[in-house]
Amino acid sequence: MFGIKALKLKEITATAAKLALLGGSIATMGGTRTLKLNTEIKQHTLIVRIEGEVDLHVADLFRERVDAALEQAGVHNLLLNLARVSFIDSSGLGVILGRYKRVSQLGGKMFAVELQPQVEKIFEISGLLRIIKLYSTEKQALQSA
Amino acid sequence: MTESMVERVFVAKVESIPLVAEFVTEQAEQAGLTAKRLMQLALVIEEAVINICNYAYEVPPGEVTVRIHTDAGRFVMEFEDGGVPFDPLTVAEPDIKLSLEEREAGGLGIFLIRRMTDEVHYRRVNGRNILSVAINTP
Repeated sequence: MFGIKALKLKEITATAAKLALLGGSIATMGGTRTLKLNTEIKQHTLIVRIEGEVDLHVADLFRERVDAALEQAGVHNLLLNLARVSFIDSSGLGVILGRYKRVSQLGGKMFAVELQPQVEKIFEISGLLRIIKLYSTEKQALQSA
Repeated sequence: MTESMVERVFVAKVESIPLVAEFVTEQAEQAGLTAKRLMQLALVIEEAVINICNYAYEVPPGEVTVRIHTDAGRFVMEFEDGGVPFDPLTVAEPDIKLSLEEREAGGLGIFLIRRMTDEVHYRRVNGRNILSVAINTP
């Protein structure tokens, strides 16, 4: 897994942050990392499907894009689909905690679904599972929204 | 397994993290670490190097030396910098049982390093910070 991570990073050569916004999808390169976000609104909930590694390199852009999407959508619930997130560090956890705080202050709920085992372990260790509800599927999470 | 020690010097900037990861991966795979352990190492490298990049040098970027010792039963990584004295182990751990509103900011990086490894030590030698983390190998 770690070897794959290093190899993927080598293949990416962009050094400047850039942003491509196509419909509901956002591809972001921060430093040498990529992060793709796909957004959709269902049942008064902003669904953000994330692909990539949520770490220091993309944390600021991740926060900016989710905040902008929340504002634009005018909804208070946030559902993060992390099925395609293979890695997260303390910077990424910090952004997620901050979004939880924002959503809670607005009276909304936050959910996370389809975590890969290694990401779920980091959530557990850092105490996020005490705060954010996990569901197996988007459908299950939306039922409790 | 025979005992070995290798080291490499990197520029202390976040763009170096993939290079550090590649260097460590090679050694870790030779040491027979499991996929789970490799992922934990990835997080430890990320947090340790980011700490050095962000806080060690008054005039960044400086350098970070990554040293790996392997022997029967242990895989040890050392992160050495020539920055201002800083023992990350003195940083208060976040109380993860508190609510988000009650939690103090910061400290999550070193907290994750502690949880992902079997031993963590800090020492200051010849004006240099050395953070040493050990993982038990199969």
